[in-house]
Amino acid sequence: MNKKGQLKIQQMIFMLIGIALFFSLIGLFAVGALMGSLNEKARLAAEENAVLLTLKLADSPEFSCAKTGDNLGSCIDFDKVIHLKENSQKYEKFWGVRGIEIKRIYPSGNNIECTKENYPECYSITVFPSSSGTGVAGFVSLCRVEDLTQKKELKCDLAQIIVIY
Amino acid sequence: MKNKKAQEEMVGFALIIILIAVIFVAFLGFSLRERQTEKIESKEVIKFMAAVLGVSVKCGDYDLKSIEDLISECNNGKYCSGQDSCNVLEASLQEILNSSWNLQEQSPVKGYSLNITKVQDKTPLVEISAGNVTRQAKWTYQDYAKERVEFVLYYKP
Repeated sequence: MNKKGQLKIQQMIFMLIGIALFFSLIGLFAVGALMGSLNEKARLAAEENAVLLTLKLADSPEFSCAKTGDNLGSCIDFDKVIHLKENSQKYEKFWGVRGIEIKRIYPSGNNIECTKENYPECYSITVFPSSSGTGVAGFVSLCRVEDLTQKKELKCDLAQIIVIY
Repeated sequence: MKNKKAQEEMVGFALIIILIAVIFVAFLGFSLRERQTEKIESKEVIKFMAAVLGVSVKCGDYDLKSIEDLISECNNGKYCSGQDSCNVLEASLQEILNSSWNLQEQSPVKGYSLNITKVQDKTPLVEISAGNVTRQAKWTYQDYAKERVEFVLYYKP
């Protein structure tokens, strides 16, 4: 009778160990999945912050256009940027970055570098050139006043500002 | 007496099996729910959409319309350069999205979808999608008086 009781206790212990092992495995799996998702979210947040920092530079008075309204996007004045490029050596240390480039995405065209001579028929503006560093890009509107036959209108293209850190 | 004990053992065993089955089903449900696309509202995508909505499109030689204006004109059935505003809008957006996002193998962006619908009855005005739908996406929407613009960018971490 005593032996039978011991056997029962042993049986119960095995069962309890089995169930505890099962639950701890599930717990481990859930924690692993949660941690993976948290890491991914942290990486995304860091990436987004870098882009927003880049766009903040586009919102500085040296780049931004006088466009008003409730538009949440960043707007770069094409005319200002061309003049800034001509005087880039004066601003070299102003933003504390290695390089700034602006690439027109739409309407698309070949990658002709902008100068005062070919403006606005060009697609890339290297404000500060840089051959090394990490580039972070953000989408902006690249606007200029277009002289239509009857009136002057603000023409905006889609562009990417690339800041090299 | 022995028979009754065996029955008790069986009931206990059945209870444990049921408990494990319930946990397994709950776990399976949780895993399947995780496989659906998780959309995060992203400022990066908000900025992209705002820049896109401000892009100017030529309607004839003397008129420039922003994408934002074209959306409203498409909803009102107006014309741009003798063409249906909706066709001009769709073609422009298609080109903009195509030039903006690289969907190649090495790129983290795997696909996108842009839907412009009427607020009133949710009738689609423009629907553009490309690439693949993945588990993670950056998302934004913009509500106007009569239209809603929704953009989803699918990516693989």
